[in-house]
Amino acid sequence: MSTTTLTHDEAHHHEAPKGWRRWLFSTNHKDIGTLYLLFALVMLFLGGASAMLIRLELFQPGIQLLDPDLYNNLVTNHALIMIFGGVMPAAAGLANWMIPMMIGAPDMALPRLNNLSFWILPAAATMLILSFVIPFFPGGGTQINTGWTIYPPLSLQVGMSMDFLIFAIHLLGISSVLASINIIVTLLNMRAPGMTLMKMPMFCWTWLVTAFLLILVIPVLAGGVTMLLFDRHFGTSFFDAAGGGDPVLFQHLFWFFGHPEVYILLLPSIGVLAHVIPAFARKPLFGYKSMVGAMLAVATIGMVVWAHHQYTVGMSLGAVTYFMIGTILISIPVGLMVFNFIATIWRGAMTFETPMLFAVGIVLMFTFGGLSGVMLAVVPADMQYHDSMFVVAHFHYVLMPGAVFGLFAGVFYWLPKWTGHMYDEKLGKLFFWTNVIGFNITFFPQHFLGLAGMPRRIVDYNMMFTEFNVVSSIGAMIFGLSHLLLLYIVIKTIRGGKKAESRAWEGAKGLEWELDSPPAFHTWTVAPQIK
Amino acid sequence: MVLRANQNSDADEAVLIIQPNRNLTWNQSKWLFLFFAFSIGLVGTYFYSLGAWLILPFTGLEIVIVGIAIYCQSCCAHSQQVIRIDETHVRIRDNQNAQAEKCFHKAWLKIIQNQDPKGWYPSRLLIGSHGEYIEIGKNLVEEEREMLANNLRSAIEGA
Repeated sequence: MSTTTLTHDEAHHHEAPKGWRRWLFSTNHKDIGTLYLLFALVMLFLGGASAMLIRLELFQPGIQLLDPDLYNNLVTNHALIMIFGGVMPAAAGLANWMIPMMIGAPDMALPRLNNLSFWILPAAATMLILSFVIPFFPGGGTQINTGWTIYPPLSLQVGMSMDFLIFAIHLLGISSVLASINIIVTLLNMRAPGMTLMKMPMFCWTWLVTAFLLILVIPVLAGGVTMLLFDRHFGTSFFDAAGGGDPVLFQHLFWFFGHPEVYILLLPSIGVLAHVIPAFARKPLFGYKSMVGAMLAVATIGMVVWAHHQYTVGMSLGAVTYFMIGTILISIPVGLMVFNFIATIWRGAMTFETPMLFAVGIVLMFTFGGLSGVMLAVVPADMQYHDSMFVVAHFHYVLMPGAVFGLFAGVFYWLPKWTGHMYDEKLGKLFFWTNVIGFNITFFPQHFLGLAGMPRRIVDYNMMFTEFNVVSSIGAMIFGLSHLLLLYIVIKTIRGGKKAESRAWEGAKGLEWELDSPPAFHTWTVAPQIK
Repeated sequence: MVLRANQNSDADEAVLIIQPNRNLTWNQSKWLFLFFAFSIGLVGTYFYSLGAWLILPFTGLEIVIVGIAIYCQSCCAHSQQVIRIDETHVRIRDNQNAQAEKCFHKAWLKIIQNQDPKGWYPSRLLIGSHGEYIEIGKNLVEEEREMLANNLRSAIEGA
């Protein structure tokens, strides 16, 4: 018997990842997480720029900068870019970075699939951007003036840019489904020994539920837009009343996806909150089990109340009543989550670093958005509010604090872990205040505009709405430009700064804080034992 | 990854078992797949009943992809290599390749550990003789592979 040690190259050759290959061919969860986050940041600025153009146009009554079709094209692209390009990839970036580190796994369960699910995104984004610009070219057809809901029959009449949008949605759906499968398999089969499901970090729980929701709803959206494509090009009449079809069927298909999508956007941020609040209140999360139960209840009920987006379309009284009651029921588990966060904060030894500021801001503003949601859930009231600026104000109060601020809280909370440097706390707080003040100046007046009767998705408005629109547009400029500060803070932190310790925050708990800051390229190669 | 060593004193045989860390049994994996298939199928069937039959191919495709993902991960998670070392021979059985139980005579046995000079990739541990080598501990991490190599060397020398 003899033993020999050969160099690697003598037996088997692997080219070391370096330069662009490291990123293109990466199967490392941290690299892919970074790619997701960078992609989301780029899309955030693209979607933000379109929002600022919309608000510039609405600064004064009359048509200043954008014609009606271009205005609605911007509205459509703003929503799609923000939802599919900004929030979802950002949440996936956090998941990629944090889930393996939190559960003590060396990587995601299916690393090559992970690479594929990211690299589909730039292709989808290209298609999405093409759907916006193609109408400007000769023969490009009309612009996508449907809004993100792409309701027929209008969407059947839009030019070829709609086809690009449909393929973009397909690609985005494929990417989401692959990422979801990977996350579910990782969470269910790769937890460290001793980490039972009920010991799993809350961020992982929220992603488990989110991934499951995505898997259930994406095929419906994919089928719906394919039916739209068939109606446009292959002579079918799924949604064409003239051919015996039903345009309302598309609304059901779309909102069966669209309503759970709201929870898909919200839940990862709720998961971030469940880490940030205990860390800065220096108390364990209040009611872990009830949080898990509430989340499962939100996901379950959220799957079966989609048609509250369609009250005005003319459903039967029984159906409308069912959807109203179901929708209002969701406020119970959501309220439970909010109360759990408040109970965690209660008598905690709190400090207000940037992640905590965002967390407290979320609890306040998301609750406000939830309350206007209860107003919209009530059918007779919704008949008045429907398609008004009140709805715009409501869903921005839900999605900005509920989803985007949660992601900001996560980025500031884990940035020291990712980069190995502490960010500039003064700048972080400045970003928080400019962001939150800008956000409230933008969207709070829109409640009044809606209640006074200003419709959404229309480029011009009555003179009586001028004052609130001026305020809202000024707020939007502050809000939009404040994100340049975020970019500066992130770049500054990556480039240097005070060295972050392994446990960057005194009250932070969890396996990820046992690792160095920044963590090694491969972490948890030996699974930790959880007691 | 889990590396277990058993010393069977009656048969004067050392046994090393290599298997990855996992949370789900095969049965639980099957139930997980069935749960997904049922839920996705229910959604597809509901919309089919409303006339949106084009959703069915997408739900079907998704069930297949979920199934493949769960199956591949479960296969990987349930892979197991058993190395038996007796007085004269070393036998290696891989449950993913059940027919190929390899038997090597200890006198000729070579243990080769290939290191990646740049440290980007894990090392590879090969065992065999007369030009026939098989890789063991492929799913182990570096420290465990190192430990396995040392354990094997001492077991072979000591047995």
